[in-house]
Amino acid sequence: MSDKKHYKLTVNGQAVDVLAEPRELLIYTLREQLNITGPHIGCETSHCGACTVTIDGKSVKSCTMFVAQADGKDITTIEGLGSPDGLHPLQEAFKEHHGLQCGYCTPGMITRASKLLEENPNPTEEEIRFGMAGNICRCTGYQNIVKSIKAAAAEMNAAKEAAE
Amino acid sequence: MFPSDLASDGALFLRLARADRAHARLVSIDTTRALAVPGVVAVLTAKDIPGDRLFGMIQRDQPFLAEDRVLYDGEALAVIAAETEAAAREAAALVEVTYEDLPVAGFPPAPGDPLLHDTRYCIDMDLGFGTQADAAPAHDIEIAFETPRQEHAFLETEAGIAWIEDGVLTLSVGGQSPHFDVAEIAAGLGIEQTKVRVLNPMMGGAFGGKEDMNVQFPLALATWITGRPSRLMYDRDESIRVGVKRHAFQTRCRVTADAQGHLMHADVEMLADAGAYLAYTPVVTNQATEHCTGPYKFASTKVRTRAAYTNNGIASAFRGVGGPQSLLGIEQAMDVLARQSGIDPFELRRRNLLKAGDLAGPGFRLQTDTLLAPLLNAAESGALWQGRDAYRAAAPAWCKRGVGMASVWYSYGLGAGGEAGATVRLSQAPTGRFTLELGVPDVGNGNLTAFLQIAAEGLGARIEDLDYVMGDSAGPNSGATHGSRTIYVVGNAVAKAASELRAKLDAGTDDPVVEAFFQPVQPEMLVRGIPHIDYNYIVQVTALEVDTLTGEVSVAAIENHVETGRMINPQGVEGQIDGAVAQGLGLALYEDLVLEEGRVKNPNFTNYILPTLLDLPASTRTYLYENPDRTNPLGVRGLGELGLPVTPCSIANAVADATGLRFDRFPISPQAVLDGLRQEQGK
Repeated sequence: MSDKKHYKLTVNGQAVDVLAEPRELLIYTLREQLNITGPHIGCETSHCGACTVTIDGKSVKSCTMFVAQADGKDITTIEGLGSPDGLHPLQEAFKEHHGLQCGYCTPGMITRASKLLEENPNPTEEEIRFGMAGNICRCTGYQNIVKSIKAAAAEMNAAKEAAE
Repeated sequence: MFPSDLASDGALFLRLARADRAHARLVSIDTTRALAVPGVVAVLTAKDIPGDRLFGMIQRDQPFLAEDRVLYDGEALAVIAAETEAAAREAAALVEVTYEDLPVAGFPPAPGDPLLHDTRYCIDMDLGFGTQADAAPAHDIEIAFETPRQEHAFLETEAGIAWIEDGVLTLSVGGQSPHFDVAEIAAGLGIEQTKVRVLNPMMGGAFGGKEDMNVQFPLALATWITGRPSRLMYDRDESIRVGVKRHAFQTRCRVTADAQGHLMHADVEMLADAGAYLAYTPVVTNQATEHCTGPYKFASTKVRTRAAYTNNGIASAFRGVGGPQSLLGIEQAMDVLARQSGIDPFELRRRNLLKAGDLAGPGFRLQTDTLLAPLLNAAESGALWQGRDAYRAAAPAWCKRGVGMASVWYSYGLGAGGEAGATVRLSQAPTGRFTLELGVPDVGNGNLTAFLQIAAEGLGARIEDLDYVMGDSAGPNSGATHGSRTIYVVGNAVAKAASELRAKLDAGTDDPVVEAFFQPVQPEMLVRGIPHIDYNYIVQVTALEVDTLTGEVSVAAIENHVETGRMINPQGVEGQIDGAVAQGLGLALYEDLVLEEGRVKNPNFTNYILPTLLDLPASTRTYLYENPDRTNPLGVRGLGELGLPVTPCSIANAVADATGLRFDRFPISPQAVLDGLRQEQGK
């Protein structure tokens, strides 16, 4: 029954080759084969967004994508968005504004938010809520998540202006 | 690392073979085909359990693995251990079971339902005080409704791993009470408690739903018998199907009052769906009983509370246990009374607030005055209430708008006779760094941050100078993370340890370690668990819009006024209120576990609807009023639950303000709103 194939992925800037059944879900490839445990398994039906990653510039729920569909693609997970010593502005803002409680949804939230701010660097409150509505958090009631994204947007825009 | 992130080289993958009947006699379980699947290492059934085969927090009535009968759909029958997850799943489906079907006991109980245990009602309490006055009341109001089974929906399902280290069976799992789990696991395996260690790392939420044992025993059994590490994470549909839930209730609340709005008699009747085993049902029914007449003074009360065994899964603790199910009665009744009597709802409440020494609820004496009056004043003069006429008047043609309020009390700490206190350890290493050790886990609620703040303050040190060991049964027993108790009970133990260690260090000790114990003074007991040492208070005002074309309710703004005690971490306090409000909003409007003949019809987030960012109002304001609590040295209160039960109450009252409608079932569905509006039109 096993019919494994080789797939070439770029994950957080690194080229990797994985051997997997084509129908293996990408979230399992990331977590089980590559030991990238930032993206989490929450609902397995693409409702909660805990497994959100960025693939070729788009937010994707990796629990509902086969590894075969990711062949040749460029994947960014939370691990690719900053480091413990150099946090991404979104990570810094979530920390500063209490944008997480248990933290389980956070990797998906921040990964999605990073795309949202690329698509729309100055989102309104409503645009943030709409743009993030595919990510569920059961702990925070979302208020501080919105606050964190607003703060990160301001920080990133200020940094961009300073650089120009 | 979360419990589901942990993997160990060579770990066996576990899956559980589960019953697909809600009620049946087990004629036979045949594991031959499952064992024949390549890669399967063990298929374990009840007869492989070396020790006690039953467990339970309050009563050991629940089998680890079903043996002769099945009492709920999805009950575990066998533990499969295999080299790959695919093999484990394949084998789980190949466990062959012969059932003899039995009739299903549903909710509410009907005549002729089968008896699942010795008794139909595991709880049957008849309490109250005084006798109802003969004088005819000016107002006589009755509210009756049902609340649903609510799913905790922690984003990380039940998960963990087990391994043997130096002869000690060690588990790292999502749980809330490591010391309790050790006792249950050791009893089940028939081994010394010193041979078991349970770790609770940071986990993806709990909300009361990880207090009961879940993956612990399958992991323990498989690893102990095979000698190999094992791992297990529930699928989402499995978690919803078999995990514990908030009890569904049928509640009837009758309130009488005189012409000036002074409350006379309360008559409350509640029936809870306990499900198949006892779990935390007595705590839930106690909390409902204790709080059901609100923070208000009555001349007499009568409270009847029962919980029935059914084949509807298992119900246990969920944040704000028993709160929404009981407080929705009194808070809606107060709202109706305000409208009927023409007395402002804030004034009506102020007129009836309990004071120290008054008899409350089912008949206990209140130790301290309620702290609601200033909160009521603040909420009444707040922007949302003052702006209500303008808000309502600006409704689009297809909408009705309303503003509602509720004022709620909710206990913190464990009830009378239930609080065993907490022990913590604090030490200093030769390097100068401190280590704080406590048994309770941080389940995502942020109590760790608060403990470190308390310790640092007491030591006169910086938080960065502190290390910690938390959620570890090898550490001192500080109880479980539940009942809004950890900051109050464990926090005071940490404060005590810090001041004792500091004194020791100042005296030039050569043994820089202290173990401190704190147990709050317990109030006089009415029944075990009632009353609590004290209560939290919140007033909430909600503005919302009802779409008359679709029946949808959209919450536009929420204003919270909270008495906090001394705040250790104000950001954390506000975060707890915000999060609890979201879960309360879910219960009021969306979350509804549908059961038919004991089977869950919506075990997924497609049809079990959780609030998203679009459902929580951007305009949410929380005002915190900080007055140090007098019942404990730190002056703190436990605020993790309070924001949940108040929310359905203020939403129900706001929907009534918008539409004039009261609903006999929660969540308030768009269909029920449309039906109600049509009936009104037809009048």
